Amino acid sequence: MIYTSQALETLIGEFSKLPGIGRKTAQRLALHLLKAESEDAERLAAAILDVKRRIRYCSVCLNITEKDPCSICSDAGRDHASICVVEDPSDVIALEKTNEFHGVYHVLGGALSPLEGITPDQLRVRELLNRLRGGVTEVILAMNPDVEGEATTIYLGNLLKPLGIRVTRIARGVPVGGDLEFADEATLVRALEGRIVV
Amino acid sequence: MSIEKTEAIVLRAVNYRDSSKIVTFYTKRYGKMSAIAKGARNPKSKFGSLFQPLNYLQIVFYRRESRELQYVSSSDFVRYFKSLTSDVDRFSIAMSLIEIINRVMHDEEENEAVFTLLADSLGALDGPDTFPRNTFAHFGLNLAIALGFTPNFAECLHCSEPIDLEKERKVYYVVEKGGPVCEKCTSVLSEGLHSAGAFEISAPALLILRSFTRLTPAAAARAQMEQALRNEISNFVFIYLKKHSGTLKEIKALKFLATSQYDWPGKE
Ligand SMILES: [Zn+2]
Ligand SMILES: [Zn+2]
Repeated sequence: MIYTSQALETLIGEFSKLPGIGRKTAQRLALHLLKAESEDAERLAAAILDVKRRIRYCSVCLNITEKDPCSICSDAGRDHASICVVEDPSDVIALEKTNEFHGVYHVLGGALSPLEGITPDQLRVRELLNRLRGGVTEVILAMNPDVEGEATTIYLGNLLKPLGIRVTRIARGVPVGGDLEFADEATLVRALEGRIVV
Repeated sequence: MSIEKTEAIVLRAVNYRDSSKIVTFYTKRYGKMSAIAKGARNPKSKFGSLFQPLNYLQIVFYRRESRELQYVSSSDFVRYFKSLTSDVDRFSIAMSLIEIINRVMHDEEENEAVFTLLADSLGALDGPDTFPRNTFAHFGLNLAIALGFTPNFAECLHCSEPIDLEKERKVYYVVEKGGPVCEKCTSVLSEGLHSAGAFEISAPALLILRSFTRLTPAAAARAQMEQALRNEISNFVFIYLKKHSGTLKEIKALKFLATSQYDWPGKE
C-alpha cells in the first residue's frame, strides 16, 4: 500500500531499516506515532538525537560511553592488568551485572566470520595489541559460544600467546539449571573439556 | 505438506526476527535447502544451538514443494566434529568446504555423492594426524568430478598420447579444457599454451591429484608429502573449481589462513 502522504511514507521507510522490523511493523509504528500526542513524538525524536550526540566510544576500551575514558577505564579501583575481551557493548553489561570481574574490558565490535568475510582488520584488534604494551598480564577471551566466537578465540589465542601474556577463555558447558540428559553432544564435550578439580 | 527426515550439514545460519534463525542446510535427500527454525535463539530451545555451520545433524522438517523456506521442527547430532574448531588451519579449511558447497550447489538439487563427500571430508578433517590442505584438494577435486567436470590426468590434450608422469618433471595443464599437454607438444605449441591459459604444474603434484581421485577422504587426509606439494595441489584445485563451477570466485574462509603460518590456495 502506498500512502498519500510523503512524510508518512518516509517515516515507514526509516522504521523498516531497523533490525527485525519488516514493512508491516514499520507501518504499525508509524500509524501509532501519527495518533500519539505531539509531546510523545517530540520526546522520542529528542531521545534518538540525544543518543547520537552524547554517546561515543571510549578511546581505551571502545565500549559506549558518555565521557571518555569510560567509568570502568577511569576507575583506579579496578585491575588494569587484566583485560576481558568481548564482542559487543551488551556483553560488558552482562558481565558487569555479575559483579565478579574486577578487571577492564576491550570491545572488539563483533566477531571474526570466515563466511561473511569479516577479517581481523575490521575489528578492534590493533587497538587491543596497543593496550598490551602497558603491563597487562592476563587477557580473558569471552566470545559467544558460536562458530564466529570460536574463530575469534582461536585467532586471538594464536596472536596473543607468543607475547608471553596469560590468555584464558571463559568455560562453555551445561547451563545452570539445565538437565544433563537433555544437553546435546557439543555442549557435553565442551563441558568435559572444561572440567575443574573439586 | 509432508513431514520429512534427512541428514543435513549446516552451511549457514542467520538470525531472523527476534528469536528465530534461517538455516541453510546441505541435505542428503533434498540437496541444498533453507528452513526457518522458529525460536532457535531462545535459550530454552532444545535444539536451537545445533543450527551452526559445520554441524552434522538429523533434521525433521515440514516440506511443501512450492515453498522456498521450509520449517524445521527438530534436530539431533548425527556426529559431532569436536576438533574442527581446534586450530586455524582445520577451521578455515572446514569452513571453506561448506562455503564452496553453498556457492556451487543449487537449491533442492539432490546429490547423495556430494553429501557423502562433504560429510566424510569434514569427518577426515576432524581426525588426528591429518593434513587439512590434503582435504581441501581431495574435496575440491572430487566435487568437480561429482558435478561432471572430471579432469584428465592421463593423456595429452593435443596428441592424445599417454603422459608418463614418472618421467616428465613439469607439465602444462589447460584448466579450461581439463587436460595436460605432453613435453613434446609443449615445445611445438609454446606461445599458444600461454594464451590458452595453461598452468604449469609439477609431475609429482599431478601424480598425487591422480591418486586423490581414487582415495577416500580419510586416506587422502593422512597422505604424507612435502608442504610445497600440498600448496601446489590445493592451488590447482582452487583454480580448477573456479574455472568450472562458474559461481565460485573467491573463498572467503581461506583468507583466514593468512593468520596461520603457511601459504593458502589463491593467495596473491
Ligand atoms: Zn573504557
Ligand atoms: Zn602431446
